[in-house]
Amino acid sequence: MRDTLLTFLSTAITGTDFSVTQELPYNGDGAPLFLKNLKRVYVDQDQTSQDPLLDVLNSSGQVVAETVTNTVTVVVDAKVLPSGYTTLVNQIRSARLDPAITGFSQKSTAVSTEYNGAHLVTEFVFNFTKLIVNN
Amino acid sequence: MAYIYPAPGVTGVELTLTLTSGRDTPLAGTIEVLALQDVTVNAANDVFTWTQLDETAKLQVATTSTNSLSMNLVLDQDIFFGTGTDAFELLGIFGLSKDKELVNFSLYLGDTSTGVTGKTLTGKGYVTGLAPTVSADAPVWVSPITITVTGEYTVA
Repeated sequence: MRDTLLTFLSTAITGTDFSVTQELPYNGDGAPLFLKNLKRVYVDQDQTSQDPLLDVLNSSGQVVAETVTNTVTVVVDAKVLPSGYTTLVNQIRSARLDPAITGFSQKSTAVSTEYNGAHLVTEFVFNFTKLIVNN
Repeated sequence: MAYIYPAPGVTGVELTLTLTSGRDTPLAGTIEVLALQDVTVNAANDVFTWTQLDETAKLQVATTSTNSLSMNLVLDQDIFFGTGTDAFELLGIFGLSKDKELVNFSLYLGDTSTGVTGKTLTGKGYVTGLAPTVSADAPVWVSPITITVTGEYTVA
């Protein structure tokens, strides 16, 4: 999923003031990279969870809802919001509709912001859910 | 104490339901009904009740029993609509209901909590009560299923 999102976002925001980095948003010198590199879009590693949806009495056939979660983060200057910020947010949100993302019955994106000093941290949480059967 | 303990998902310990043809000349094949969510064994005696002038309470006597197995089933295409080459297996659960086929059922209740092999209920009946349903929140077909029993259970 991370690779798919990176490919989509790299194409979507080409020609804007923002860029997509292949780097993971690890902590460098005590702070996440995105706090040091403004206007760079960071895509984190996929997180996967499984929740039983339908339990059955026998050893096969249990239906499980598997959710792949990925977090995308971008930081901008909060004092002067970049002119393309709103467009960027919409472009990143639309990544859930990338035709390359197949096999999932539910796709959603949650956007949240918080302030870190003079920085506006915008976080996108993508959730992709599909049903799998334990055979 | 030895509780009946059909550990879900443990092969050889779990509850199983097997169906075969109940005809005088049986159709070939066996259907093992997998993906059961729950099972209820109904054995309800009818009761004849009367009153007497010399009794302060009603008197009752048990008469005949109405027996059935009630379950909920996650639909597997092969099991529900039939597969294979044997006539009985080709019917599937849906065909057994549609064609009003008499079936022999064998319900293994599961091992006991002490690890001893458990009991099996057998009998004859008809598949009925199918009502497959699906929703966007749970996009997997699930159906109730009842085997209405003709005659008595046998416990072995």
